[in-house]
Amino acid sequence: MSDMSMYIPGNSFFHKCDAKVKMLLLVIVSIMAFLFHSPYLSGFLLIVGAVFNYISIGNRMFKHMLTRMIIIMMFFLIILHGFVNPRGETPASFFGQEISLPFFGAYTYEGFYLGLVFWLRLSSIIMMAELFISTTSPSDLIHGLHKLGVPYNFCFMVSMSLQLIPISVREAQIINSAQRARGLPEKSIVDRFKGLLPMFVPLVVSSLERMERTSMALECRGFGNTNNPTSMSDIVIRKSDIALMVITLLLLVACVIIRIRFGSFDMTDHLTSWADCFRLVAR
Amino acid sequence: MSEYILELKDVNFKYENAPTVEEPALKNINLKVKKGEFIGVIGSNNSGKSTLCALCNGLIPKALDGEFSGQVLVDGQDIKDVSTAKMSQKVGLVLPDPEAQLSQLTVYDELTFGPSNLELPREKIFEEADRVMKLIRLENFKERSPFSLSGGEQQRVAIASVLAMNPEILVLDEPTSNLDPLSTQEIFEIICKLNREMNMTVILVEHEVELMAQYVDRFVVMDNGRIVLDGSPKEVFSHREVFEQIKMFIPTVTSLAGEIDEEYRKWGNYEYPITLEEMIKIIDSRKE
Ligand SMILES: Nc1ncnc2c1ncn2[C@@H]1O[C@H](COP(=O)(O)OP(=O)(O)OP(=O)(O)O)[C@@H](O)[C@H]1O
Ligand SMILES: [Mg+2]
Repeated sequence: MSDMSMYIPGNSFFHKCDAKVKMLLLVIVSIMAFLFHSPYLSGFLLIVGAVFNYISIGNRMFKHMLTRMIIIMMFFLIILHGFVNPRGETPASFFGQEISLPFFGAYTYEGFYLGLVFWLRLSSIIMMAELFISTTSPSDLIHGLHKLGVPYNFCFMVSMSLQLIPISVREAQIINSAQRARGLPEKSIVDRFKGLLPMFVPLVVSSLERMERTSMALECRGFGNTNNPTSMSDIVIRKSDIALMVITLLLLVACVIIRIRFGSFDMTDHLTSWADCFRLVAR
Repeated sequence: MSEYILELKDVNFKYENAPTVEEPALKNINLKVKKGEFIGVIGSNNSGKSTLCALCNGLIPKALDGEFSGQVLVDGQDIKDVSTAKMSQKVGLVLPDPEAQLSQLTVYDELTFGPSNLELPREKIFEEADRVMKLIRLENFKERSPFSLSGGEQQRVAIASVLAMNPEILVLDEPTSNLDPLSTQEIFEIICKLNREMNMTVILVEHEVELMAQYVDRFVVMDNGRIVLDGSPKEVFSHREVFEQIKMFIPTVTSLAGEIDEEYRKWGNYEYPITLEEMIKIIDSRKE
């Protein structure tokens, strides 16, 4: 609980990559994921993102909170969507059988297709975000934000609040145990909720007091002396970063041109079989 | 420039929201500190030691509200004329609460935070941070979050983060309250070394009178917002009656010598000892 950031230290290509480059990558992927209404590009991005993640953090990506989120979303978007999507018309055949849920009706091709597309879009973005978060140390992130023109004081506030969460949690635990030690009832759930109020007041008061002391301590260490402190990040933009940026930008431009000339490849209205879901053009 | 690096002239201060309404926290404080001095400030709780520390870098009267009168000069410059942030280059203040002093994501960032606010060049900051890290022995914690450390470790980080700014005057308000005896002694040794080798002026507030007596050049004894004694350890501890009056202890050996005063006089014309080593030396020399 002491470390809220999801940063995983390492030495890979993406760890040494400038935070700004990774931010740009994330933005481009987010645009590309929503360009087409077909599973192909976002599916490709998801796979690329997964490979990048694996290169950077190895097996730890499977335990990462965001990977879990993608899997949970798969359940909701692909399985449930098939039943509940209002655009669903054509019941899907599972070896000649239809599957249906009470109240919602049959599992449909349209529901499956829309769920799949949406899942791939979201999860390709989440995958990139995971790459970004797990390879960018919070201080590099702050420096990156600052370099992009966000004021130093604001960046500092962000990093400060990141830390306030675990501290407040710990403080809440201390106050809670102190009050229990003095006989605060804790048997039923109702008691627990009642116990929140007496905990809340000292928590707020002590946080405010702490902030006052912290601000004094910060001043003692020169905070506020300048809006442009010396940057301590060792990361510089390398040639390979620029290459990566150029490739993704070119890809984006190509995709935008395709999108404008050929449309979004939406198959929703042409689904009659499983194979149709993975066709690029309607029969 | 004046010959004193820090000068407090007729300072009075009363906290705005003080619990005891009438009593000012500091009354008529006059203190002159020469460059390179190592001063120990002692006194019972609520005697105004922390308030004195906050005066040295201008937190009082700027950040803490209250009635302030008098003048505080750092290197001949009135603290009212300079912002606390600017003053941090000259006066480093280590506060007693370690956790509230930490703000960065890693211990190393904590060390580079102060100097980077002073806009020093990068290389110099790294050099300084590495030096301090070695000095305070923090290498093993370099990449850890300061909030995940124990109280004692946090206190060491807090001290290190101020040292990294390389101030001319180092003011430490109970910097070892969370440390075990061995680490306390170690910190004292380090501070003493900085004082002797780099001629850093040190003002140290502590309760460990006996340990301090081994290191400091001068004691300032405070009681109830006033400076009651000011002088070398020997001078200060010769006023046993004052210590009795303000209910503070003096080093055991000094106290012992006082208790057996008549007998002690017969030993020869010795001054009262203040450290155990001194007493042992005196006893040894008598045997010969
Ligand atoms: N922030 C504050 N607001 C109001 N009054 C304060 C504040 N800080 C200290 N005081 C009061 O000023 C007086 C001197 O306190 P100070 O903290 O300087 O004592 P101290 O010698 O450092 O004590 P200790 O040994 O406990 O640290 C006390 O009476 C205290 O109640
Ligand atoms: Mg104090």
